[in-house]
Amino acid sequence: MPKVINWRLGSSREFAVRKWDDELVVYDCATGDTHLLDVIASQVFICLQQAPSTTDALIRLIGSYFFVDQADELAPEVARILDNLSSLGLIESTLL
Amino acid sequence: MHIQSVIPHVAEGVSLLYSDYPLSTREDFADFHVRVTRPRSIRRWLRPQALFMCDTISAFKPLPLAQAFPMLEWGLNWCISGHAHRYLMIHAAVVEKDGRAVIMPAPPGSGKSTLCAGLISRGWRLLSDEMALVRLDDGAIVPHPRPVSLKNASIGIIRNFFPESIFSAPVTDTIKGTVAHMKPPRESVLRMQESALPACVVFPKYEAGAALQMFAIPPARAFLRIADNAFNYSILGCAGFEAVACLVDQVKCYDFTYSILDDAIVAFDRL
Repeated sequence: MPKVINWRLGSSREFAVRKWDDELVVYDCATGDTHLLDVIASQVFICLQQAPSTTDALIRLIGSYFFVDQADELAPEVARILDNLSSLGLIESTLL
Repeated sequence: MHIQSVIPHVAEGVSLLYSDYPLSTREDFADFHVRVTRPRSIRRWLRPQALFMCDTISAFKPLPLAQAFPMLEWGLNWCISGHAHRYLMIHAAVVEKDGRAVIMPAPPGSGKSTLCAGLISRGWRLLSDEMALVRLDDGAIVPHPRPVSLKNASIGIIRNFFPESIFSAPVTDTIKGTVAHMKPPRESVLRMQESALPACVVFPKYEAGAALQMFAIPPARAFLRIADNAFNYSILGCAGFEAVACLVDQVKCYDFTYSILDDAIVAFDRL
């Protein structure tokens, strides 16, 4: 059975986060870097702040938040965002 | 600030532009002890130079003697921007009217100082031409109303706009072109202990012939631009992040393009 990727916020990182309108500004206390997250990336980050999640569950959550009927349409965008947030060290993945 | 110099240009500049400042005695505490001296070298006789020293540190390479007064001003900016980390320091002009401070961050050449000089010529209080000092505990702006640095065409523009203005002698061939400093308004100096709360952050841009434009900037976007203009955002770490965030919470942020100074001032009066 294929393993499932589970996402969570960077476990060794501490973040300061502020939200204005639908955009987040995230300060990574470990690196001193500041990141501006667009609307969808912000929602992905917020979901993972609340609880770790699999990619599929995240796609459903994001679809529901933005009232997208066919949540699968968001899959490529969510995958790109997860990859981007991961490369910035804001989130990390584990295998279930 | 203790200033020591044997160079006549420096004495003349200080006497002309800082005459409304209170004088301290030699025994009073000073944050910085600065000197503008003439370096001891053969150049002293061939090509006279000036050297800025803060305590025992020479912050810059010597400059031609004629640039001694601008060098003092640049040196004082260096002293503050390198040391005053109990503030968030934003590279910006700051003016205030009716208790509402407007911060104008901008890179060189954007028309920031020209706009600042125009505004203080029309009743706005000068808090700074160069640096917004944002107090970390309450977000208030601490004034340091020093001379306004104007360059090249801006010198003539402000002289024509406000003929009563007092300027230091223009100095040519500096790294910034021709530079002259405008005396801060007496009332701004007398009120320099009076902090002000920020109401707006306006990113000004002079563009010849452009129509007046003012567009709101989404707060998260404004955050990054303010942080980009803060000298010590990285040094302050999380406290810097919180300081910029608190500022963004307090203010409205705009991009502002202007070409006619009078129109720009009317727009600021309506902020």
